[in-house]
This record gives sequence, structure tokens and C-alpha cells, in this order.
Amino acid sequence: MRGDTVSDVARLIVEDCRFCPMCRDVCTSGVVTGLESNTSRGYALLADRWYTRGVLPEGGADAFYACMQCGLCKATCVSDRDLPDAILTLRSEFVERHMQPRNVREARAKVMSAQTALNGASGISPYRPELGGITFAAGGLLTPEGIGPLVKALRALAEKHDQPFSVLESEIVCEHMLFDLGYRDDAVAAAGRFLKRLQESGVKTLITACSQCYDMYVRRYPQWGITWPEDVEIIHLVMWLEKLSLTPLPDAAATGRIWLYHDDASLARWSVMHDTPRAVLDRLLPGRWLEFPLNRERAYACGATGAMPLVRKDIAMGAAERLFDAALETAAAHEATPCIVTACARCSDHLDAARKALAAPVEVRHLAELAAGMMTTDAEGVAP
Amino acid sequence: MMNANLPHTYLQPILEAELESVVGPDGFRSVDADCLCYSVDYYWVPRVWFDRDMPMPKPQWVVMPRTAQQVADVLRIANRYKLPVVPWGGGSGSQGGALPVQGGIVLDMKRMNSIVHFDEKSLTVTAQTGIIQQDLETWLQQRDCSMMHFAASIRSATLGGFLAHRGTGVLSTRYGKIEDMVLSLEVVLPTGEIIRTAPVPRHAAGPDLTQLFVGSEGTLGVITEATMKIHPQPEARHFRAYLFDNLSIGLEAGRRLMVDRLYPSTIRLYDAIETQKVVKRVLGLDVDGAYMVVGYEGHQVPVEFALKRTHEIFTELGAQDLGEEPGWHWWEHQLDFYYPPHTLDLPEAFGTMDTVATYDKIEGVYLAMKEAVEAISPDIIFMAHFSHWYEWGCMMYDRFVIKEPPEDAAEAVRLYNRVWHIGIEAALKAGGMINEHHGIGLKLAPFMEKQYGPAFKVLLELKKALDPNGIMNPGKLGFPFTTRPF
Repeated sequence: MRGDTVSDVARLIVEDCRFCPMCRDVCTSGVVTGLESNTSRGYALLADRWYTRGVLPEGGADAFYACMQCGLCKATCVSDRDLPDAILTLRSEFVERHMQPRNVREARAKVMSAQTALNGASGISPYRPELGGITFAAGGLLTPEGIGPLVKALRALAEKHDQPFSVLESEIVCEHMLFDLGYRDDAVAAAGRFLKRLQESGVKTLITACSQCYDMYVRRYPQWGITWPEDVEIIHLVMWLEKLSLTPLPDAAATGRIWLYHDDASLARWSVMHDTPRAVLDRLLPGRWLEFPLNRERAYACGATGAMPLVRKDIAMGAAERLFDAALETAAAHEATPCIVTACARCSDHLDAARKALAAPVEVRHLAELAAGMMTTDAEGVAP
Repeated sequence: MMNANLPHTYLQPILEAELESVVGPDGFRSVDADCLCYSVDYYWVPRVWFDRDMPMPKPQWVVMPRTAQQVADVLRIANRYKLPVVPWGGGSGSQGGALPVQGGIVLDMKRMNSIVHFDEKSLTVTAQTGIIQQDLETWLQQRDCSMMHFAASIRSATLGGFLAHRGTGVLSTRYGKIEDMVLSLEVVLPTGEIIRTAPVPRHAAGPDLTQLFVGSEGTLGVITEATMKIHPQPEARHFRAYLFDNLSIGLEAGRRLMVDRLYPSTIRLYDAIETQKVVKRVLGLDVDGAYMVVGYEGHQVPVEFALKRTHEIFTELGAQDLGEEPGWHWWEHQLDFYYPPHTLDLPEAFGTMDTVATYDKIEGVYLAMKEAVEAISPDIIFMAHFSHWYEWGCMMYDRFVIKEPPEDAAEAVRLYNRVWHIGIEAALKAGGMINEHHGIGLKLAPFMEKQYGPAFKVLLELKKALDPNGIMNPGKLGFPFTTRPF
């Protein structure tokens, strides 16, 4: 059966994993659930069964959907093996063979039928070519609660810097989410539709506030055989912010708060962009923000990746709770409310929902909100 | 008779409901995929079984407690049904100590990972034992402290795992083994009572119960919380490498440092084969003889004195000073030996015997084991380094490697076990102790009676008294299997 059940690349990754314990301590899902089958070692053991025997033990497919795709095992792996990628390949094999768990089918249905959350955010101008070639993308499949403040922040930033503001209205289906669930064909088809609309609309520069989207356009699209159009520039929001003339946040906004920068998995580990968001923070909050003890490529994952909020909400919430605990502990000496700042829309959306659900005494802000000076708790405030 | 297979199928859902009610639905698993992952640890034999698709020693249930009370409740249930209970930490044990060879319940301790108390004044930390050692160490280092327990498995093994099998780290020569670091324990006895041992390890209030449970490998109870000694970060840390003409001189050099009471943090002495093969491969150093890294740490002045005195002693013994750089290189790459691509791996057969003896015997133990093991077959290589040193003797991390073991799994396991038996018999005969820091588990269980002689009866009687139904980790540490293993 060797080689019959998974792609050669995935098989080799699993084969090379010798179940050494180097990545045990960093596996986010494993730490959250405490279960061996939810650790990178457990995945490798189960994957070994799959590719050498062509069988999965009962519950095996479920186990693979516990992986958060946070990439910490890859960042730590002494052999530089991309176990998360092998897991995605396995998920696609399960989908191909109709072996995916029911909650995964339900998650796909939810993603495919998603209506744009932009409808819930008032005062949005969908992309209008007459306003120029720049458009902003908040990120697909965000909640109305998440996208509303973010879009307002993007608009405030654009207006403040005399740039025409419009947002991509075609952001309905999240290809990244479909891909993470194992629905590669659906993801590729959605990507094709997205690019077609993008080109038809005449957008010249797309500025995304979602690190997962950015990773998808830059890294995944080429892997899927999709060529990003040469005449469309793709920029992560932090790269755009870095070029703006930003002024420090006023003291009033800082009172009672201490900021911590959360390196999201996509930006920190897959796009390897560590310094740009920090440079922006240094200008907004000079000397007033903290690093998490584990940061950059070793930073805790927050639970927003790997379609976790859709298929394993318990793990997604557990990861967020762990991040909140780390924020509270790091900020403890400052006697101020920790405010977690992230450059990823999906992270801010997920963390904000988790904060409310867990009643955690922390705040969460997207870097765009901070740059726009939106610091009141209801996110209605605007920069002075 | 105890059996993990319940006599009536209607009992299973009742039992499962009971276990689930203790730990909650998210703390209880019984599906095959979850159970399979507890059938392999870092012991060579189950890895071969797994690789060759042989029957695996799986548990029927995985239970993940969060509190000592939950552990106690689970043990009470297990006693009522007479079910085996096997505590599981990080799964990095090399002796099969956490394998559920009679099925039953695996008690995965990793959710018990809280740091309970940090005493800056006394320099102690109290933690639940399911915490992964690296996480505890990271937490301490953020406070400019350290447990100074740097084992190769630090990123996987739990604090409880180290306590359960008397683990050690690369700086043990100064800071001691885990048993030297522990002050006090919370333990759940097999019958479900929660006890605390004396709060400090130095007293005259009878025998030391803490040390009764340290090294008991989950056979006498479940260690749920531990108070550990910690250290401030040292002002100075130094490493230096030397080369000796042969192992015998190197052993004498190490002994001199220890009996001179210079208190190095580490002495790692490699025999000629390891110097030629392992040191060259991993550290890129092409030398012949017996390679040694010696380290000191603490306050600058005594460290400087110790380094100077070391240099004098080693010069007397004709050592070649290789300087600081290779010493630091070893420190920075100390874990590389144990991970791909340098670690030993299937299809090779390999084992680490880690023997310990007093200085008057240690070289004899090495020579006797080497002769006995290599006599089995010309395809077997025996090599060693000496890495944990005491005032009275040292530990030998001796390994055998069979490059091309038999293809047939049963044949390979038979040869593997034969090497172990011959090697350990030779060690015992020469005055060595059968293990220093990996524990006994399944692998060395047959040697316990021989190691202890009539004294083993004391351990057996303790086991019977504390665990009357024999539910705790049966078959390990030389204690009986209650039924035939899987």
C-alpha cells in the first residue's frame, strides 16, 4: 500500500518523522487537549498507519482535524519536516474518499453558503473602480462583529491618508478555510472565481488585513497552480501601514492599557514577517508595548487557523484562553489591562469572540484599529 | 482475576459513564485512534512492533484528569473493577515503563500542568506533574531561575515522568538528579487516598516517603504534584574540551576532579569509539583518543579557580587542551545527538544500558560489558560515554548498535533481548548497578530480583500493601503481571 494512499511528498514527510519528541511541547492542539492523538507525534503515528497499511483506526480522521495548522511543529522540527502540510494532504485524501467527519462536511456547507458579513457593517463602499486602483480586503468569512470595526478602521486610515477607500465585495467564500478542511477542488475553484472578479474589476493593488489571505495569495495559490495576475499588487496591511506617516497614540488612549503584539501563525511562521508589524507598533506605541515571552516564529497560536473555530471550537477556544493567560501573566507587573494587538483579521475576529465567551479581562485590537486610533471599547472612537 | 476485558459487556458502558463523570466528556476517550497513540513510547521493541504491524499493547480507555481528586476517583473505580491503570506523561521513556501491556486505563497526566506555587525566598517551585519539563523550565527562566534539569527529552517528558523513573540532565554532576531536586510530593495512592510527603527532604522523622515514590514508575501510586528545588542563573558558565590518550586516563581525570571536590557542572568523557564515530559525526571534531568536555558554573571566582585546577590536573595526566570552543560547541549542540539525523533509528537495533558503579569498579564494568556484548556477534558495536559523575563513582551511558538486525521482527526482538541479558548480566557480575536514569520499565524488570537479592522482598511487600489489587502499572519494575500480558 505504500505510496497508494497519500501523495509522495506527504508520505515522505511522515516517513521522515521518527516520532522524536522535539515538537511535543509546542504543539498547540496537543497542549490544549492533552491527548496524544492530538500531538504532532500522534498525527505522525496515525499517518504512518494510513500510508503503510492503508487503514486508519476508528476516529483517525477526527484526530487529524484537531491539528490547528499553527506551524509550530515545523518551526521546531530538527529535520525541517512540514508535518502540517502532510496533514492537509491527508485531509484532502479523506475528503476524496468521503471519510471526512460529519462536522467537516457541515463546516464546508457553512463556508460555501456564507453570505458576506459586509452587509452587516454600515457605511461600506463596495469596490468602485472610479475611486482608483487600490482596494482593501478585510478577509472572508469574518463575523459582522469582527468585520465592522475593521472596515471602519481601514476606511478611517484611507481617508486620513487621502487614499480612495473601497473594499472587495467578492469576499464571501474563504478558500483558505476550504483548503484547510481538505476541500482542495472547492478551494481552487473559489480562488479562480475570486481572481476572475478581481481582474474584471480593474483592481491594481489589493491591501489585505488578513494574514491567512495574504499567505494564501502568496504561498498557496502558486501551490495550487494558480498564477496571481502580474498587474495586481498584493500587500499585507502592515506593509502599507509601514509606509504611512503614523503618529503615536495619544496618552488618553494608553491609560490603563498595556499592549502585547501577537504574532499570528500565518504572518510569523508561513510568511516569516516579524519586523514590519513591530516597526508599525514602535511608531504607534513607542516604548509602550510588550512582547509575549514566546514570540516571532515560536509564538503561541490563538486558535483561528486550520478551520478550528468551525470544526473544533473547543480547541480554538482553548488556544485563545492560553494566549489570554499568557497576556495576563506578561502584563501582570504593569497593573493595566492587557490589549492584544494582531495584524490578522481572522485572529482579531476569533480572539474577540473568545474574549467575550470566556469573559477574559483582556482587549483585542487589529493593528489597523490601532493605527486608525480606534481605541474605545466599542470600537467607535476615531483618531483625533 | 484482574482482566481489562470486563466479564459482561453491559458493565462497559457503566464503567465508561463512571469514568466520564469523573473527568468530564473532554477528559475521556475510548476510540481506537486515541488509544493507539499510547501503544508506543521510545522503547525500541514497541517501535519495531509498530513498524512491522504487530499487535500493540493498547489501553481500552484514556482518562485525562485535571486534579489529584480526579486521579483518586479514577483509581477507586479501577480498584472496584480491578482494572490496570498506567500513568502516562510525555511518552519518551525508553524502557517501556508507560506501555499498557495489560490494557485497561491509561491515565494521561498532561492536563495536570499548572504551576501551583513559586517561592522566590526559598527558591522552590511547586507544579502539577503533568507539566512538560521544557514548559516549566521556560517559565522559570522568565524569572531568571532554572531547575537545571536539562535532559535530552526535556521537550517531551513531564516532570512526573522524570520523577517516576529517576531522570537526570546534562548538568547533574553539579545540580544532581531529579531525586536530588525534589523536596516534597503529593501522591495519590492506588486505593485512592491523597497523601503529602514531608515538606522538606532533610529531617529525622523516620524514613523518607518522598524517595519511596520517586522512581516507583507508577507502580505504587500516582505522583500528582511536586515541590522542586530551583536555582538562580549562574554568574559564570564555562566549558572546555580535552583529549586523553585513552579511556582509562580519562576516567582517572574525571575521578580526580570529583574527589578533589571541584564540583564541575558536567563531565562528559567519550570512549575511543564514540570519540571517533559520534563526536566526529555530531560535533564535527576529528580526533582519536578519549574526548572530554568539562564545565563549571556559579560565581566567577570559584569557577576560575576550578578551571585552573582542572587544567593542572589534566596536564599532569598528559591531556591535550582543545580549548573552550569545542566545549561550547558541545553545550550548544548537546541535543543533536538524540534527534534526527544523528539519533539511532530503525531499522538498526540499539539500546542504552546506562550503568553506574563506584570508581574502583567502573572501568571493569565497561570492559566486562564490552567484551560480553561484542562476543555475541561481530556485527554488534558497543560504545560508551561517561556523563554523570559523583563523589564516589560515575555513570556509563553505554550503548549497543546492531546495524543490520534480522528482518523478521520476532528474530530481531529475540536478538535484542539476548544482548540486553548478556550485557546486564556482565554489568551485575562486575559490580555495576543495572540502571542510572532511564528506569526499569518492562525492559529491565527481569533483573530486579537479581539486582536487589533478598531486599527485593521489601519492595514486593510494599507493593502488596499499597496496591492490594495490583492495578498500578502491572509488570513494571519487576513487580508481577496480574494476568498474562497482552
